[in-house]
Amino acid sequence: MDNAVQQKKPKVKQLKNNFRFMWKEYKKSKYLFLMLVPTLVWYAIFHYGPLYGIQLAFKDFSPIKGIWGSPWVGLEHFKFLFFQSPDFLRIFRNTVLISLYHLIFGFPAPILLALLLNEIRFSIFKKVAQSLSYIPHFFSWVVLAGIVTVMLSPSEGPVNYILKMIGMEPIYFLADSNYFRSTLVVTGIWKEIGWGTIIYLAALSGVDPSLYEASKMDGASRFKQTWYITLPSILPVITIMFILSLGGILNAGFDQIFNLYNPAVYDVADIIDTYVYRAGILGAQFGLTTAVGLFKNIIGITLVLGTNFIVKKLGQEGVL
Amino acid sequence: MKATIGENIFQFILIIVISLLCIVMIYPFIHIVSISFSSPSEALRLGFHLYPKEIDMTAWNLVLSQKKIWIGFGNSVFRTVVGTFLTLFIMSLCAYPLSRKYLPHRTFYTMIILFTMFFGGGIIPTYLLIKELDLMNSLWVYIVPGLIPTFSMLVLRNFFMSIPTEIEECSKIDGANDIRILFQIILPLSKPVLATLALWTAVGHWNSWFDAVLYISDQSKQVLQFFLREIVVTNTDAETLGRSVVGNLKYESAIKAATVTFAILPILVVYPFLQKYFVKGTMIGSLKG
Amino acid sequence: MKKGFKFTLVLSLVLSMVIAGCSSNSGNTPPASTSKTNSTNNQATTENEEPIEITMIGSTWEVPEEDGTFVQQYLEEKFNVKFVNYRANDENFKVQIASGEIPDIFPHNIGEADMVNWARQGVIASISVEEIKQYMPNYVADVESIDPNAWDIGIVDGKNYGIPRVWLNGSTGFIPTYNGEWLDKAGIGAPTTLEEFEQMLVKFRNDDPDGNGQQDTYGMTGRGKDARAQLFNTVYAAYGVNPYHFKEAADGTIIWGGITDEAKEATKLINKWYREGLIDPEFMTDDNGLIGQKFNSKKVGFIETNMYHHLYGQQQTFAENEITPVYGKGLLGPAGKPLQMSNGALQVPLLLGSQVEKDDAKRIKILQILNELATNDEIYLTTVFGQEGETYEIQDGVPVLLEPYASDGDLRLGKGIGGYYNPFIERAVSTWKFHMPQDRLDFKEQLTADSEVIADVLGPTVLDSKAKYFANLNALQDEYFTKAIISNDEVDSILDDFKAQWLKAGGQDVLDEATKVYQERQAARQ
Repeated sequence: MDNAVQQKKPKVKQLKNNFRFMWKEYKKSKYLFLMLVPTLVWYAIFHYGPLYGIQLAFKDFSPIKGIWGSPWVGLEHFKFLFFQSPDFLRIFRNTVLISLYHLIFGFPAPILLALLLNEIRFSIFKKVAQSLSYIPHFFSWVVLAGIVTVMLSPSEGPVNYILKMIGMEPIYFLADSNYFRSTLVVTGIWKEIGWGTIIYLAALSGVDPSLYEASKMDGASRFKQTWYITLPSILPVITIMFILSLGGILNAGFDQIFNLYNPAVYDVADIIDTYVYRAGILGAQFGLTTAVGLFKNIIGITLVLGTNFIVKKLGQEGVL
Repeated sequence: MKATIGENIFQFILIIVISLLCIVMIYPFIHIVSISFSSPSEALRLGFHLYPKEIDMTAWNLVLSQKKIWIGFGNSVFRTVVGTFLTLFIMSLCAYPLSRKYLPHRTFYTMIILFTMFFGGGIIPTYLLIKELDLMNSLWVYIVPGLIPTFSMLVLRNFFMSIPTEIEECSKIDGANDIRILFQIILPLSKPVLATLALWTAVGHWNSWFDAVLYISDQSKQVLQFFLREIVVTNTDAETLGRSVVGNLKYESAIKAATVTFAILPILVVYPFLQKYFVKGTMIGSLKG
Repeated sequence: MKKGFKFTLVLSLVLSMVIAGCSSNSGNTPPASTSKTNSTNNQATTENEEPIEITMIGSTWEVPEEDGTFVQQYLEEKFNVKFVNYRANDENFKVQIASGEIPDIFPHNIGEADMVNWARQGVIASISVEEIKQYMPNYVADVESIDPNAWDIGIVDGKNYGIPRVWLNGSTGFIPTYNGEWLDKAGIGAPTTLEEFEQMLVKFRNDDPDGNGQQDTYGMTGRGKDARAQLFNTVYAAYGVNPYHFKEAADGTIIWGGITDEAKEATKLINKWYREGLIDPEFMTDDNGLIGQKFNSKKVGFIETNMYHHLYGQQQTFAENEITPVYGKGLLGPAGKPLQMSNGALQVPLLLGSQVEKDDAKRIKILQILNELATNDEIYLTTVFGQEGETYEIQDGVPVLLEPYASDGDLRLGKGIGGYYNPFIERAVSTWKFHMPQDRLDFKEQLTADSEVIADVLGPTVLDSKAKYFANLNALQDEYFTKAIISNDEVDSILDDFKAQWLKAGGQDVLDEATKVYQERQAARQ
């Protein structure tokens, strides 16, 4: 008994010391907190305030009863998602595959373009090219789908015209399961590559030119310069963009797919969101959509934290 | 330093490749603009639209004479300008402290903010919150709930982290506090990133329509994208679409094209002005100085 | 790291609940306090001339900006009520409902799935059929003259949830429309049988009808992308079926069009034409806009996705594009008589908010007002057309909007004219005459007289199994039918496979439930 009491005393003292230490640290950073705290308040109000709505993922929502009053249905929405759909495996596979393709091809593309644009000496051309490259970003898929459909038309479209000229058969890209996903990726890159270069160009503008001069004197080729100077300099930006993009991996681009797909390619193009959209049409399913959102986000944050961990092990700055 | 032949060839090839790319990129814009100036039968023609074979200004006349288009334009400008400035300001206040490694419990604060990127309450609780805060049908509903885009804030934070700490240490020795350091030293060094984030935020505001649809019932406070959707997507704006009671649809394609063009033009004009911030070597000078 | 995460999770949940708790509970109070109908609910007071307050939103498409418009005041005076104007659009209406803001009168364009959900959640009022008959006698007589079974649509779990609605245009069919110049050049008239139709396709494809020396034209394309029920509907109708409709089978049960033999045979014919290159292969990615474009820019010579009122409005477009449209009728095929597909006249009923269930005076008042809005000439004219001499005038017995009201929607809303205060706009039989000037009547007559139509035998009916399975079943059907149409003469095996899969994936349940409901309705009529 005495031992326990005696052990408690030092613990309390330890806690008090810790507290005093913390207080000093906070005081040292008081200006930082002066800046940070109001923003935290904003987060509390606008992000944590509504958080209670997540429970809808497990409830059968009724407007009369409100969010708190609606009855619990446990994992029913998740069951609907995973087991009611004719083949959840297919939908999930499509979602992941399309997202991966977007990531593997679509993530490096703007970086490459940024590097190329950065090499241009002719400054007016460079500026004009930059301004033109991001034009497709501003068009919604509602508008772009119409243009893409005509472009890829087997009878009218220029792409197939070129194919015919080089002796190939016309390909019905938008209705052919073998080509649809590739079409998604290519048109996706076309739309976003220019816009994506902006952040990398910003990062490139911070690279010390004297580093290049020094390496040239050592006889480094352009390729070596890029590999040993440019890329490492913008690696922090690349890293954080990569990690954060992973968070959205299960999104796979609903807008694009919804406007471009048709029943001929359902087997490769149907993703989680298009399925939920169709299911939702037949009934305002706030519970279902919350459940799906929750599912996607859990996977998203796991991936983000996971990659963050790996990235830090490799010595880079991560997200945390 | 004279350019070598190899260097010139490289530049030449580069310019060709990039030019081809630009042509492909710019096509949607040309297509849409061309249709907006086309006569009804020309607008309907399938295939390439590089220029209108028959010019007809009716669509543009109709669109530009709609007062709601201008009202929407004004509101969108307000939202974009005010919203972007405020966001840049507040975002910096948030990102800077988080970028300082000596901030107590730094990981904790970053974590609770990161968390909000992935988990949110959904439309209904947010709607109720907005009602609660009396932001319904107010122009501020465009700005306040979206004040800090976390993705951008984290990018900014990481950029702050990459600025050499010597700069900060020097200033502290000179007696500056954190706030002065942020505004007088760090931010000027961050121009390229700030310009990028300003562009991201501005475009985000300009293209937003969902919050407008949800929270604004007063047409005089609506944004351009809202009217754009009514014309192009949901087809409910019978009047701008030139439908009289008889239901004549002939200018529909051209009108939709004109509206889309009108909505995009301002952004295309803004970027060239921001380009001057993307200048090489902004950071280097400060260290030497 | 892990500890930090767990801690964050807990803290965030706690924070959120604290904040939610601190802010007032506006999210879950029953509608009585959040909807704006709380006022003089005492029954006795109606006799004392205290105006009843009604929260109104007859339409989400035309919502007046201001209160106190001409129409609002007119109705308030006439009926001794006071309107609270509920403002919403299609996209935020459901969110407002979800947050507890429930109007007394709902917009007229609700979907059937929402009706079921809201009925079960207690959002809308159940109203007895007798009461509707009692207080809306004229309207009910009108509706029953079109379809005495209109009541069936509004029944959920045995109770009636709304005021039935019919759409006269819905009972007319989709009109096969041909490019007149091409018909002339091919030396044929509008096809009346499937054989003649096939001939038309061959000639339109092979005989260069647009005279430009290239084989770049097709007989037809289809809405493969956005409206599968309308895809090749003329051909399917000739077999007496639509793959996306319920149909009564010979034994009195309900069968689904997509699994019938007729649909299979029709698909075989379409597949044959496809393999012969007579159908535009891009039908798979064509939508309504593209089809219209193709017809108007003379790439296809036949279009089947318009009803008469669409065509009425497109006459000028056709003229501009130098096309003389030739309107046909249904094709004679294995069905034994020419048939055309239609959507059916029945629509989802007009709904009322659940709070009126308990407020007898208000409910009765609403029914009375609705009756007048739909059947009383003067009231209909005022709410839909405005003031005679100022916003409209009568020409040849039909009201015509005057400028600037005719083309400026905002001005019309400024007067309160339109569907917002009259949810029966263009849906009321007695007052239908006001929308039919002679030339439109003649046009309709020309296109639709002597046409027999087929429609979904159940109409927009509530079925639990529909809500559960339809998203998948329809997607499955879209896929299989597309495969069948473009296949290498494998329609039989593909559609047999489809039938098996469809039944297994919930289709059998759907048919069982549909048959049950259908037979119950038949019995109730004996």
